[in-house]
Amino acid sequence: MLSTRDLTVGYDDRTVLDGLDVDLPADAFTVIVGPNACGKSTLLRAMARLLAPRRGTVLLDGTAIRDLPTRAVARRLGVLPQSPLVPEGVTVADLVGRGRQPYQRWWRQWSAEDEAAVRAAMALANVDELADRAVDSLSGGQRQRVWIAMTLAQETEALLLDEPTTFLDLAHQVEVLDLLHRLRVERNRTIVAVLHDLNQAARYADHLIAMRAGAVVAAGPPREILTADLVRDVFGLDCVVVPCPVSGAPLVVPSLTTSVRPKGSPCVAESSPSSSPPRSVPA
Amino acid sequence: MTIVAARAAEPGTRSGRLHGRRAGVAVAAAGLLLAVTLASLALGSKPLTPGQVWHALVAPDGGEASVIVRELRVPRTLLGLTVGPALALAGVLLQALTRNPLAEPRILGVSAGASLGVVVAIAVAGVGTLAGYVWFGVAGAFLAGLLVFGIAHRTREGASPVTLALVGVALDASLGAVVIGLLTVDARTFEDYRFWVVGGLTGRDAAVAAQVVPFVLAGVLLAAFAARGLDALALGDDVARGLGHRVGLVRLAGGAGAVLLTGAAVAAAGPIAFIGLAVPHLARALVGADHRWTLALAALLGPALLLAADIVGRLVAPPGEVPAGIVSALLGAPLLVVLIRRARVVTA
Repeated sequence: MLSTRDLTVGYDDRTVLDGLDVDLPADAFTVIVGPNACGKSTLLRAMARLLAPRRGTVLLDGTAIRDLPTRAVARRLGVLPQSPLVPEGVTVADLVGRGRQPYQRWWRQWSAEDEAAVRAAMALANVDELADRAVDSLSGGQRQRVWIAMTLAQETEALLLDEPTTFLDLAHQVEVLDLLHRLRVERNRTIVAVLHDLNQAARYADHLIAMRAGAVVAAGPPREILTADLVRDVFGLDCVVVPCPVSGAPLVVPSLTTSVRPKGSPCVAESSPSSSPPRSVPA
Repeated sequence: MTIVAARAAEPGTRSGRLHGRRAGVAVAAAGLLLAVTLASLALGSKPLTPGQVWHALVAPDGGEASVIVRELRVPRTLLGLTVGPALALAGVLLQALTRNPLAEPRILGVSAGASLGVVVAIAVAGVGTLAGYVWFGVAGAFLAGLLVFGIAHRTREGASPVTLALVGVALDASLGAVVIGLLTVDARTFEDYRFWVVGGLTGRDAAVAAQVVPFVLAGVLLAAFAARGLDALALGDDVARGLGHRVGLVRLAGGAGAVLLTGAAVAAAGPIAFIGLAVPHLARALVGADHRWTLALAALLGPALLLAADIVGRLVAPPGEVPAGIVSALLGAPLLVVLIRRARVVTA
């Protein structure tokens, strides 16, 4: 549903994306990965019309997004930027309610539909118990679910999230990704997220986009494209890729580097996992 | 209509309860403003009975009571009802635009622009009445606001909270220096200026309030237009864009509103401290972080506090008077301290 044609974006005299053609499948969970400063957040922000491109277009179901009223876009695309601000003292219900702004006008204020959408969003993101709490008093994981609830209250077909798991511990990362997965499967939402963790990307993504230096290196289902060669190409990291014992998705295991290699251990980068079985930890 | 119907239909809902509480606070604030307005007509250094005041209002007889009420108390009350909302609304807008809870009408240099306008009026144009200062004050405020937004807009960041505050503070300092410079070389100007700069509602006739009312009304409309966008802007520029707001337009509307309101208030009553700083905090502590409610409450509490300060100033040292600008600063500072110690701070 979202695609870019000849998308060129830059800051000042630096060009970050140069003539990018990207197609995001509808009703899929797309994850964009790549090293720091590769332009993945810039791509997401440009697709979410947060950045104006220098050249080229972002198409939303075939229409140039800049030709659509921004309020109309806000009813179709929900955006969660990397570090939104939390004003002190704002309650969860109030914050989630602001997700209804694209539907409100001065002559049409808070309606029964707004109330229903906010309740549904808070229930879905599992923050209804927190409704009257101040957002700045919540933990990082709770806070992130509140932000997702705000974008859910927008009732959009697609959600664009810029590094939604950064600064969360592992359990909360899984919680947020499970929520996004459920939105895709149960609600047919199109999800697009920038993630740092390749293994999480491989587990959750239907469609993976690997970027390096402002260009797309590979795009497709993780099981088809995520290989040791791709990781070396994109991140400059030697690794082995094995099937994940839990999900079967590709699992990227970085090769041992000299600094962490214990004495006498094998040091073959391309060694298969069977040659170095995981040690069991004595209880 | 819809809003009332939807909420009335679900009185038990969370937003219904919140709405009810906010409406209750607003009604109480309106009641307070009414009481203070009546007190402003009834109280003064010359004691008058309520009967005398009423008689003077409905059937003036040219007697002493009639003159006091109609020529002194009514004009200053009208001025308080005009300037009070302007200062408080400007404070709410500026704190939201700069995302800075310390922001107040002085932060954009608008107040200093008005001061410079008044000094020019006295020193160059030879204007000698408070009513005559108004146009110069509004013009000075408007030019200063234009300059701040123009400069901030041309920076790399655009008119962001940081650039607005920095450019505003810088302009405030340099315009303040020009004002002091003009005053030190011209003692006669200083004599006139110091009456204006203290800030207060005395000595201004009803014409002054009438002169600035159009500016205040325009500022109120701009504030109402920007209110929802300011709620979104508090969550960051990207979130606001994601919610379908044109961030530049919201900033422009809010900024223009703040400039008009500050300019009108300062030109009419001098730079009155603390109303613009304390009232927004008080309003948010009472109704929470929703700018439509915060603005509405500030528009009620601003004049209530300003008139209360003016009344206290009339009563503390009869037959003399302490200007409202001095009383509001003396009372406003402890009020803000109590508020910060007691209530949860709500920033936007």
